[in-house]
Amino acid sequence: MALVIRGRIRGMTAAALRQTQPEAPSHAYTHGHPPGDLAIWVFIFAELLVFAVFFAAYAFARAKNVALFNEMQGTLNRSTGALNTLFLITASWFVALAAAAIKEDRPDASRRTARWLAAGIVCGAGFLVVKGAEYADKLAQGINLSTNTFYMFYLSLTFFHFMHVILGMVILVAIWLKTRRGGYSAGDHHGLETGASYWHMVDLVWIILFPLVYVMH
Amino acid sequence: MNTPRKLTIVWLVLLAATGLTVAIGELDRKGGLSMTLALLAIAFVKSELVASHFMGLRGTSLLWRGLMMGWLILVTTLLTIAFYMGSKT
Repeated sequence: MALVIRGRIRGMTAAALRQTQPEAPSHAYTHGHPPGDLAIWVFIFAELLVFAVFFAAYAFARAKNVALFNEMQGTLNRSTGALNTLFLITASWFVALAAAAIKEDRPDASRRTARWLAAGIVCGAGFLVVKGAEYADKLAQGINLSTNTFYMFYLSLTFFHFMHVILGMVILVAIWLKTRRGGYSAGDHHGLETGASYWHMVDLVWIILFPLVYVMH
Repeated sequence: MNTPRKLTIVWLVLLAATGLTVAIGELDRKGGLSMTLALLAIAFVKSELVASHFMGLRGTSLLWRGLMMGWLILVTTLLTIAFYMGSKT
């Protein structure tokens, strides 16, 4: 799985870097299509299906080990999970504001868009710091993948998502840099919308993951 | 088109829904199927808001909205079945 993730990151990093290249204007796609590149939407739905399998695997494994899952869920810090939800929701809001700002036909549109993207990146970094601290705490307690079934799922599921946040951050930084250089405009922001769509997917997955793993019992 | 004002309203609703999720978790210590259904309903609404307004699927063709709605229904149905099975053990 690690190889697959690394491969995807390499691929998406290359995709993010390609966003620095000249691209087709945004009006190249027709009304009725989602924002951004069609390929990212195929990728998004493929990722969503993978997460759906993970969620179902967690829930059906829990059905056979309800007492263990409920007890182990009690050892998680729900406050940090909630804080991370706020980070991702707010990051998504900032990125959506960035996508709206670039469409405004005003001279400071790039500066305003870059500012919203930077705010989104800060919130994403907040998520990574809090989640990293959670992992460090669990590792310090001697918890790992083989501790029990709950922690096997908790660590693998949340770390799989964690890797997606890192990838989303790489993409956000790439589009932020291009925005700062004036690379997007009201008539040409296809790449920005592509990156933003991926980032929102990361938020969407956490919106299900947080109540599932931290709250439902 | 999503205006900044509309996006901010969606963000505030998402924050409130997150607060509700945490509150249900704190108040309902016993848990059970009713709690699961309430939390899944909140997660469903939050996800739909993110997909429609932040991801911009609102106003796209039925195919794209249907794919997202289908994914949400698939996930919430599978989780409901699994938690129902868990409640019977």
